[in-house]
Amino acid sequence: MLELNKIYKSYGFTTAIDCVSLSVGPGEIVGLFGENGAGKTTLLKCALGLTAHEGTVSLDGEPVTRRNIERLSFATCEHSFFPGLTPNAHRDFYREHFPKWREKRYAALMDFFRLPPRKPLRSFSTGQKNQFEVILALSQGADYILMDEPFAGNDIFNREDFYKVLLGILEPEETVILSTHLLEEVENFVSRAVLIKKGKIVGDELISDLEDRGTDLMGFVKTAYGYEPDRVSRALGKLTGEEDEK
Amino acid sequence: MKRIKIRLDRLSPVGINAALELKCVGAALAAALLWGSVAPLHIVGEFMDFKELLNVGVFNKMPGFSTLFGSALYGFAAVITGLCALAVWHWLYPRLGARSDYTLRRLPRWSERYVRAFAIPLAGTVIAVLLAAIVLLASRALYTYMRGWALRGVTLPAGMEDMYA
Amino acid sequence: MVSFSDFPTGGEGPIYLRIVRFIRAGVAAGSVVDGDEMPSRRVVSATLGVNPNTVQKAYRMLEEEGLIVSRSGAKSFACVTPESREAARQRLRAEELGRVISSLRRSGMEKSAAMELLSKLWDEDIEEGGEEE
Repeated sequence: MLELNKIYKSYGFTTAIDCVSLSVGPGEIVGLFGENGAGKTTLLKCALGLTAHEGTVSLDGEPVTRRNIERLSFATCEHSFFPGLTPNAHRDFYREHFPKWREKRYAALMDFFRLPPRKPLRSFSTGQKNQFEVILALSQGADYILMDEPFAGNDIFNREDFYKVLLGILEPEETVILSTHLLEEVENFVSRAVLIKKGKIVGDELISDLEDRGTDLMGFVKTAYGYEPDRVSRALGKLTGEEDEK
Repeated sequence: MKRIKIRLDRLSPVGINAALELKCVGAALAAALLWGSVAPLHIVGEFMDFKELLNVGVFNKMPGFSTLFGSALYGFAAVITGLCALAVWHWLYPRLGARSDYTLRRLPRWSERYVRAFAIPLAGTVIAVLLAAIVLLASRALYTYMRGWALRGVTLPAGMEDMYA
Repeated sequence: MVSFSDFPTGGEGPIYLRIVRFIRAGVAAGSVVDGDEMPSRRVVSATLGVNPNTVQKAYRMLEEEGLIVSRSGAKSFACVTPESREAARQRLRAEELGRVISSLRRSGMEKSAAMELLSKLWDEDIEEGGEEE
């Protein structure tokens, strides 16, 4: 169980994360949703210890230290690989540092996405870079795979493939936390939706429960955000009304 | 040879050739040492001139150590400054092009990012300081000796003993 | 093995219901026969790009309906009898008719007018040589 307890993070006078507590268990595929600047990226970085914060992060009751940090992996749209290295060199590096490295999965994914193993990462296209970033996160041997907008820049076919491959290779106890703004796409992929707004969690539901209540992810998000569907038409009405009066 | 190279690569940031850096730092240190070694030669040379003049009765002021030693250590100062800059560049390097520092900060072996950033600059600085100390002490010792040598068997005129105390 | 390769993309309603309807339609059409092995939840999950919990939910519902049965380990098999096949067909027909009825009612049509229209169109369809299955 990955537990975030009363996380606070502020940059100067801005509060990025405002008292967030979240528990994610093995096997969950959690979608982390929110508008730009809501705090999704910051929250993931807090979980990984990549940014200073108040509050605690624990794995099965233990704080996250060098002893258990290998159980968390990270894929980010900023790319956390070494641009000068080839995929092969990355594999050697990861194998050396992460004892639970999944060689078979790595080879299968490299094969499936047809990535060139002996070219430096900086020569890859953006889509390929994204793919490799996710491959590393999946092959590290982590129990909790955290992904921050990993598909920014991949076309829809790429992304569809990815969801399917993920679902095929993930083991029942592996957990994925995926932050994305592509709501409609991941609706079927995730089992749980966590909504963040201005650094606070404004919604946390199982997709199954939403279905049982007769709503869906979009409906849930709209309600939580107080979305007004007729806002645009009302505004236009005012504008065109003014035009007619002239 | 390949095995040694792989171990060496642990000493510099990922993607930078450690062997090459070590060679460059070594060359820089050699150059600084060369620069510093001018001082002893200069000391010897100056005292020999001084002695010649004494022999013909010209009693000039004894050359002072700091004047003779002069800028001998500037080479080492330059190398150390360069190594500080190298250390800064090494530290920032994982953030260039991509955020590989995110990976380095998640490694179970947390020392990795520090070793890679600072091993070579630190080692280079230590060696530079040691070499500088050697140059300084050796020059000092040589100066004392040459001084003694220059004044041996020389009869000083009256009232000039103070000048060569 | 029951295949999900023809699973219709873009349908109405939550996906677990769509999976149930898909299997029901297969039973009704006869493409899913008694004893056919159901692919594992993981395979369906990867084929459709759908969370395994959702597949699990669909399978559970199918089990409750008696359309599939779980045996040894994680394998499931289709359980089709002539009665259940007929029941599935009826259900499909009722759902389809239900949709048509809703839309006609929304357009303001009366029941008697609808029955007349139905009868007329049915006869036309027979004349045009529409085949019965």
